[in-house]
Amino acid sequence: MDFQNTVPLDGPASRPIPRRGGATAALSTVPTVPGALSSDAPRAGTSTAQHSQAAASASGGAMQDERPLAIRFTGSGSEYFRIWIVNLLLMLVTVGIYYPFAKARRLRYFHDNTLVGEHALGFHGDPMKMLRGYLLMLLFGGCYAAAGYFSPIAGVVAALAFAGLWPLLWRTSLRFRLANTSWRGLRLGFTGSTADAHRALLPLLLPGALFVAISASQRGAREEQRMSEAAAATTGIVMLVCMLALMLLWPMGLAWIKRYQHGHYRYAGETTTLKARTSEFYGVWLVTFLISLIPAAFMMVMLFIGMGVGFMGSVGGGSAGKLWMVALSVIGALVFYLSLFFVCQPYFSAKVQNLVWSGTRSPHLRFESQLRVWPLIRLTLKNFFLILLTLGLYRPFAAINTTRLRVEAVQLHVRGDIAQWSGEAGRFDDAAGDAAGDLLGIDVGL
Amino acid sequence: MPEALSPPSQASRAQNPGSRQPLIPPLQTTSASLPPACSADYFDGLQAAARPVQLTIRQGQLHIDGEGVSRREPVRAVSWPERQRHGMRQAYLPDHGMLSCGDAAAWDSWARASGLSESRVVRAMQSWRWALLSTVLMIGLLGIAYRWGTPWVAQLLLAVCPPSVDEQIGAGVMANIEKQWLQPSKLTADRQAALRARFDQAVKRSQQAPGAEPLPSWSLQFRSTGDRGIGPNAFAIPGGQIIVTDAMVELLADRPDVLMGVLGHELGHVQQRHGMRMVVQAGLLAALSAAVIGDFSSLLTAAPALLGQMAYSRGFEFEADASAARLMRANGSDPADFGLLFERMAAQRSSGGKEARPAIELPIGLSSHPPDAERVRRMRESAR
Repeated sequence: MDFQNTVPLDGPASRPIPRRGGATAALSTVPTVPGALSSDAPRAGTSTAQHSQAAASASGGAMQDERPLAIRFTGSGSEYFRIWIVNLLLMLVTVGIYYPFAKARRLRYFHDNTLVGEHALGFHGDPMKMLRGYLLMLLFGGCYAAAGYFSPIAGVVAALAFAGLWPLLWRTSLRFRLANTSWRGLRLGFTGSTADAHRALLPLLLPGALFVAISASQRGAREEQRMSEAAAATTGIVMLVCMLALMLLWPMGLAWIKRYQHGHYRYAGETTTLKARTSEFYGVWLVTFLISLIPAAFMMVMLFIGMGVGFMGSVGGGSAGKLWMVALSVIGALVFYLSLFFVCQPYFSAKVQNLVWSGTRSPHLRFESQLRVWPLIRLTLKNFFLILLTLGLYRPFAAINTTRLRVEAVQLHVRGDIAQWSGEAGRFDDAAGDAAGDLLGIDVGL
Repeated sequence: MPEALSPPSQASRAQNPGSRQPLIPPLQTTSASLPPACSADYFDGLQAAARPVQLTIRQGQLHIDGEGVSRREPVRAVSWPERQRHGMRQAYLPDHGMLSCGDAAAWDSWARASGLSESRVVRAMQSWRWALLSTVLMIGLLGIAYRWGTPWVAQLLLAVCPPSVDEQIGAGVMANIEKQWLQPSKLTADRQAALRARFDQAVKRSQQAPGAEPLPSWSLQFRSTGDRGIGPNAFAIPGGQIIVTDAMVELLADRPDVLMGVLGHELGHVQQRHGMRMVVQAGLLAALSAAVIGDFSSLLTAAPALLGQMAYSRGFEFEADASAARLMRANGSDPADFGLLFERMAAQRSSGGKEARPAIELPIGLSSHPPDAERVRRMRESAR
């Protein structure tokens, strides 16, 4: 655990926290299980005390006091459309400077409308701080992009530096998002360490960085003088191996990434763990891969037919054959892309969501996700064509209905009386955190 | 019963603020009427328990009062929720602690009665009239950005961007296509020298014409495309290199005046820094497309950017054609003869010539270039 940066809130310990046994008793008439967070027990309000109590009740507590809290999403597409369009206009007018403000408003809308049990999530991000982080990331990204123009070596160095920084930025963005999310007034937290972030990304980052470095150095060698055939063949093989390794390691990488994310969420002194085996990720990946073989085969058939027609056409002379060849291969590729987008991607993301969220638990909290594939495919289809037809104006509606489907598929099971829980004073306001997440395209789900 | 299964608090039940008035300590409100109150849940930020409280605002201070709770915060220090139709109202207090209210309507009327101001943005977001106006404005703005905005930004950026950047980018592009497509020219040195001299002369004459724009540094290169060939072609690369293929020289062997037009077209690309402008304009267009359509589907995001890029490209071709026409006129040729190039290329294509082309500026392309007939028409009109 890494709480070095934790700044205690000024004087929570010294400020008398009013005991409220009476109020709780009035609301919860059924007494809680003996031993579990008795309201008379002296409470220090610190995480360790809370945690030890939680652990004690987890080992001794009975399963019957677990109860489900449904997660509801009450956002409305038409309302979000108005928010989105005004935000977008302000962003265009301010040449993007308004973006952090728009983003904070969007997150707050989505959080306010995500009800876990009876209470909504809160988003506490300060747009001014997010803007500062944004400008920092812009500078950073600009340096990275510019490096490649100056020399290939600078480009390689920048790529490697970026690969090294990536885990750090990733962790920063996770911390920012979690620390600025609250439920029932208690801030969530993320306790993953930087070293663990590096470790979690290793299976994907290592072959990826190797691939980039080799291709860049090869380009450099090609510019200066022609490299020998043997050397070219060797680097080609190494690059191919890297690609293959990247593909085969991908489910493992995803498992490690998810284990890092879902193994370090913190709420009210409890830290979650992810109980999902790497082999389960491979299972989902394998099925997705097998499904994708059908459109891939279709594409190949179209390509062969096209080549045949093209060959016949060119024998006869004239360009009609070539036109057919191009048309058929374009149709094949389009069908391949669309079936990946409409079938494989929803299948994979639904299965992974279920795997990951159903495996996320802490001593007193347990999630359960039952997102079905078919509704997600239908929704993806509907959203795609409506976005296409409305030239993008349907996008806010799509964002709302997708979030509703995904979020409402999840349930939270709680043991004990949450009203008795207490959190820890702490705050992680990394200014660059949110922007880092955007730079990397990370979306912290839920 | 566990607390969360019952309604979160009396917030939704206590519709009658009057019954809860005794909770509020009667301070300086004796003479004036009582300030409006709202029931809400208070979380202190340390415990998950919701405490029912009454909220009032007096003299710029938010009063939070309930059983065991008595907190005062300056109204300005509180992060207030924006008015919406859906979702809970959640206000964040400084340092820690928050207020939550499930009865949005009660909260909103309390906020209004208490004199909490609402930003113009929030009001716009709650009005369909403003949302529709924003839609219209946004579409207009996107149109303006596409038509004038990106070219203007490109011009602005390129004005401060030194030519060395063009050269560096061009060197990279050149190294790439040299490796993939090009071989040394098979034209004799004499022939190359003669063509160079002729083009130098033509450029000089064209630059002497009134209204000629200054020329950046440029160079003319001859290359063969071998068996893999891209056929008769010519293209300009950022930094000023103009490459013409042997096949193009052969195609117009009997009409050097048209060949000069082709080279003049490429010189036009160099003069206007079309390669660099395309990088900037296409990049901006992609950013705009991403802002509007977002990351839902890469295909949907890429499509408008790609279509816009093609349209820019066609615009650049017309500009380059105009340069070609100027050069031909300055040298006593008829720009309408430029059409001969298209005729010959079309003839060669239908006789089964090589069709593969690199994806850079070419005189003729599928959609990055305007239709031949339109180009010829414009060239002919420019002759008059």
